[in-house]
Amino acid sequence: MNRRRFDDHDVVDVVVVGTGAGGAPLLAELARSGLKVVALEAGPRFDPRQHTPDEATASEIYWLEERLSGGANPMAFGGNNSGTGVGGSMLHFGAFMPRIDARDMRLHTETGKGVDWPFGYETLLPYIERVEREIGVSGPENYPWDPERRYAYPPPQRNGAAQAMARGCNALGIRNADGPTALITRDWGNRKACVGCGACHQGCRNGAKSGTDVTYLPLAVSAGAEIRPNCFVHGIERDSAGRVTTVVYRENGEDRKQRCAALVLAAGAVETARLLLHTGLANRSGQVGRNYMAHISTQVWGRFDEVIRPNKGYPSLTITEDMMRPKDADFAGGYLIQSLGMMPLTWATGVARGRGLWGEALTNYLRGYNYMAGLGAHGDCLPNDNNLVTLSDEIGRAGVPKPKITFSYGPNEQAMHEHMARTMTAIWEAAGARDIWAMDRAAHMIGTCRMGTDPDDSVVDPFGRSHDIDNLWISDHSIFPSATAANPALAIMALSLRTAQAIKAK
Amino acid sequence: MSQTSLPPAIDPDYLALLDSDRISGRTRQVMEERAQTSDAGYKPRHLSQIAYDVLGALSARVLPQAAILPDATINIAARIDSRLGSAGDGWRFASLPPDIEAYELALTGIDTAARQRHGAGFTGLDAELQDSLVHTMAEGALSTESLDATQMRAWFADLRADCVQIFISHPAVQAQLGIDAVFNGGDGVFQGFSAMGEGVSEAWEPEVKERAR
Repeated sequence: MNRRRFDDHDVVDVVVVGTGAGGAPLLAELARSGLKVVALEAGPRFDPRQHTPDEATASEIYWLEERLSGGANPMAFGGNNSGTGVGGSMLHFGAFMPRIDARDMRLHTETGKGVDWPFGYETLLPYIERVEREIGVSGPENYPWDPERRYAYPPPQRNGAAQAMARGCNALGIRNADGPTALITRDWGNRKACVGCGACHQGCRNGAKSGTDVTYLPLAVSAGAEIRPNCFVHGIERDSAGRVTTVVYRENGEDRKQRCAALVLAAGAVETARLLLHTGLANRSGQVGRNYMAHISTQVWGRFDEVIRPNKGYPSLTITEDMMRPKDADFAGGYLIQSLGMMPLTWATGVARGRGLWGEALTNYLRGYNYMAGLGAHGDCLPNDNNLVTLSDEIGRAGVPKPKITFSYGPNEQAMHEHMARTMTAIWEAAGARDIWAMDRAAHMIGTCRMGTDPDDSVVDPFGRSHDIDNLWISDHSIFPSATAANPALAIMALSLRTAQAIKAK
Repeated sequence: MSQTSLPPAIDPDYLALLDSDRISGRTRQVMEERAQTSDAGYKPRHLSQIAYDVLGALSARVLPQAAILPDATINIAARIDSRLGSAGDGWRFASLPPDIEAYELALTGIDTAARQRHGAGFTGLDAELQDSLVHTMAEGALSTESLDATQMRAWFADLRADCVQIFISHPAVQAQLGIDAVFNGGDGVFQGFSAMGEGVSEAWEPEVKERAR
């Protein structure tokens, strides 16, 4: 999957930094329209057949450059949310693919809290449907919370956790279904149907998971795009008018330059903000790095009498959207619940950090791995002045300071976490689980380069273009004005296609 | 701390699975290397000898192995020291210094606390006194010369994570627990899993010796 390398002195039409959910759809869209485009990817190109379910080894697909995590609720990065390599974080993402709830895009109108998006769900929906069609998404025949919705592929097989969640929800009268998953359950071209190997987070070996590595990136390359791996961008040069002319990147220890007519940053909410803070660009508003959000992702675990073998099958199949606006909510927004199987090292890490066990109690708990199943929530998070990405005083890759991420729950997040823990504990009790416990956890990275119409209050316009520099664009979750409850990949990809159209129209 | 000179033995049934077509060549190689590492006579490369010795004794209290590996132990201290020379897991607590420094300061700090409170270094204490220090640290009440009690509690979370990751990644442990995550498909045929769900095992799957308790 590649074409010839553009010369460094060629002025390409667009350089895209990153090949994940934000960079790849746009790269393909621009290449298909005949533009000369290059993607600079900080990580290597992996051979999917060499992905391994051994979690320690599979950390090669995680972004392992150290980040400093502070605040009252310091977040885990790396395997929790940050990938590397051609395909970006979609190499390790969990493939759970819910759509944004329309109400989450106008939370401020609804509750007076948070901010509204500068456009509504109806603007996003055509792009969402297009992404689902183009990458392959499976889901149930009738989606209880959106009866009009159709998925091209039937769901994969339910594993133990999915069965237990369905049983617990049914007992409590909570609607549930097989969730939307970004994987295919029938062969499609070179891609094979999901075989339930359970190692989505360690990299998909047969192309079943609909990451950019098997969808938009091959399309982009066949349309003439170049993907240049192992290139870490750390500088941006401009002309006297302030427009971007050149990108500076490090490859094999050497600094190189690529000239370009436009630049798209799609490096994720931490790395995009880090690069802009490091170069001092596009920050007239002072908003770069601010409004950092995550998903409140409380988990509840329990032990079952029957063997579960939580590493088997698609990990997180059952969903309920009934908690998107729970009647007894003492918080703004809502959350999704999914069932959780889990690979052993990831699970044991959660036990060690989250349950705080040590000694014989820890050893004895680990012995029960094959009987464990979990539930996991993803809930909205309000922007907060104190939650942000800054540059630390420690030097990182290519001389760029390591980023520091400060994250603390506010009262809304705390109330939501407690509601999640109560609800999921009730579901697990109803399902017959024993020794139930809740783990406080946040996932995903959102915000830091907010989009909006007011240049004083946002970094990019509603199409992702910098208010300050007219040939600089951002296409990743850093531009989300609010977190919403949905896993971010689908909306990132949808926005990426929309931004591509705006770039073409220039 | 006695460290066995041979790596933990692995059940023949599980070894047969490691040789089967249900595991990729790359994964088999990783598991075999890990299985054969004995770490007998390992000398610390990143921690001081004092810190390393404390780590050996401490990891035995944090994650005692006998209930899963009755006849041999994995040298978790050696694996942690070795790990400290490589890229970490992509983040660290902003409140702590870099991993190598944090480990050195925390471990020597625990040793000093042991001497101050009990008149002997951590490795010289009996298990009960060692556990009382660990408990104090877990509660966020053990401050040392370099790291305060909150930092020690945060570091202890890192230590627990490092211990369980090394432990549960080991093929001998996976064999004992009947974990079959690495047998999810080979290079020739990528089998995945066919039968799944509550109470369901496939005929080839390793026995789950542990019963639900």
